[in-house]
Amino acid sequence: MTLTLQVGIIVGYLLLALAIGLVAYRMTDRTAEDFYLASRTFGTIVLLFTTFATLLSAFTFFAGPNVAYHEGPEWVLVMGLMDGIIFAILWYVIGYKQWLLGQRYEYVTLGEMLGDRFASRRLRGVVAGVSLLWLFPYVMLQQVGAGTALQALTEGAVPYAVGAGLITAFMILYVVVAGMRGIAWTDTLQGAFMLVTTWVAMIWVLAVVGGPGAATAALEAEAAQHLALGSDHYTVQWMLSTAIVIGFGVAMFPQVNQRFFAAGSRTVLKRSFALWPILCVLLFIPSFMLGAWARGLDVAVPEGGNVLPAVLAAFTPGWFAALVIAGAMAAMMSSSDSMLLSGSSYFTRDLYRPFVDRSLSERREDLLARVGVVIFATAALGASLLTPATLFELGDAAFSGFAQLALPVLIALYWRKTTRAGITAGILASQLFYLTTLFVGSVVAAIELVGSVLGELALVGPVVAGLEPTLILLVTTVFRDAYLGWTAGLVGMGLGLVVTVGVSLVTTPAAEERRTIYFDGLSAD
Amino acid sequence: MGLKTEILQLWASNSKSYTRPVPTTGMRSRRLVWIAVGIVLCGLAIPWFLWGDGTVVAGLPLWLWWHVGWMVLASAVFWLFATRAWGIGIETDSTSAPTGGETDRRSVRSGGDQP
Repeated sequence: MTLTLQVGIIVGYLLLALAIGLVAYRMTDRTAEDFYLASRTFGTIVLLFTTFATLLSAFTFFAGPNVAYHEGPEWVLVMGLMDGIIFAILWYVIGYKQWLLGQRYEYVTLGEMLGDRFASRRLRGVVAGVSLLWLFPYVMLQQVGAGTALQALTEGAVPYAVGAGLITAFMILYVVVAGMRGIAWTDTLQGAFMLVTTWVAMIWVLAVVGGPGAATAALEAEAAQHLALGSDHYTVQWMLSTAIVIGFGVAMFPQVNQRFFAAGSRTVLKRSFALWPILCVLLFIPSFMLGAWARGLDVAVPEGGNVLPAVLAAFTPGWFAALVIAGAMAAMMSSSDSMLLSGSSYFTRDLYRPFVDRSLSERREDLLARVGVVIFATAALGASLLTPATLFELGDAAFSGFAQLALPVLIALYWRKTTRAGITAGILASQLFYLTTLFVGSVVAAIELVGSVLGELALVGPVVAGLEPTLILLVTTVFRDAYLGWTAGLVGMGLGLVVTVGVSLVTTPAAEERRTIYFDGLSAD
Repeated sequence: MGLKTEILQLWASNSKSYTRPVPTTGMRSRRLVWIAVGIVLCGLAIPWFLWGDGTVVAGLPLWLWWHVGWMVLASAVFWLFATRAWGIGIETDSTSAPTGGETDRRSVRSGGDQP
């Protein structure tokens, strides 16, 4: 009974989303701008919830509560600061400026906006390429999440590959059909659904265990250190690094950044901005506190399994647990569908059009964008079934990877003296630095390999043998996970800042650069 | 050059704030105040002064109550910013029309709602 009901709830939910997509399809124009940005027409509720649902992936339901369970509820603070405040401020500082520029110059992507200002096709391509490098594995992670969740929920009746494939096929269908408008409408449904289900879940569990006082007392008896602010895990440096890096990373994630262009009016941006912190805390409290309380409630969490489903299974009926899992699916899909669309727009607009076919018509671009979605989604699914460790590592680090773009972009938006060479160098240097810290093990292995090959040669052998340890020591000292407790992501951001400013100061702008377009004429009326 | 001059004049006549000087000291100090407000909002979202404290109030740790209150405060401050100071640091209201080869190659749209 339960299995049928669970699958029924999820399928029912998917069909509802598809129906919304079809309604949106009836309203679309056949242009790329409409497909990507719903012709820049979003109202407050839709923009607010589409950004909200896009931003909060399955992480809020699975990994987040797991962290709260194992390490304590301080995670609420980190997420509150990063999403509720830092991102909100960037919403104004980066988002509003991008919106004004988008209104005026009809930009659709970040790369397009930068490429136009710096008169550089190459810069445009670099921004798109870097974004796709981090986006692709992140989409894979979402597919893996969906596949795993479906498999766990149905106790293996729906195997992992089938679950991931089903969700992907479904997403392709409604992204290709409905575009941004359909995605935003389903996001609005999904965001509201997430909020309601997590609150009902928390109230339900608390009602069973005797209120928050009893739940917290049980947690205190089990792990009192979780209630005191801070721990070996939650150090000051770690909390700040994580909040800052992810907060900035979010603003550069293509699917979030692109929403800055899509608001219908200034009023919409203002209202969404003011409501943002409350909306975030409303979701984080129930979701992460459930994870934290579970620690004291004797909930059996399987090794490597997720806490939230286990709590729900212990305290609520099966149909409700399925409903919340559907909510998690909603969260995961509402992020992935937007990523597919944005990934496709970065590819068609910033790579295909400038480098392959410059004379692409609007109508053709619209078609190509839809084909792009299919290719992007299918490739990510294929890759995720092969479970390549390197790509998963990239996906896990995606927020930090995107964060490396934020400061060079911010400087370009606000400092007239930024040069093409400066921003390009800043982006490349911080990306290279961060990628090297991520894969420092492989770099060391490569040095050892080269060393052993060259060591065979009689002439250079001794020299290489002497040089190798020094080189390895140098690499492992310079590229680390953390610097006095501050994460590599944050250090990389600092490097990007210094390089962008430094190189801009010592280079002169190219003659074709349009140095004033980010500044002049951006007035209120 | 004739066309360009015409465009510049059209631009200027369309800009209500044509005669307003940029940026005044008042604007600059307002901008600094808002930057300071932003930094304080970020700085105290996590109550560092309660570090190591495990006091429980009404079923939740005190530091969590602080955070919830702070987020509500942040929303209120953002609302205030949106109604009073929106555009600060971004909208130029400048007298300088686009210069030297900066005439737009794309159409200029209206900037959204009327304030």
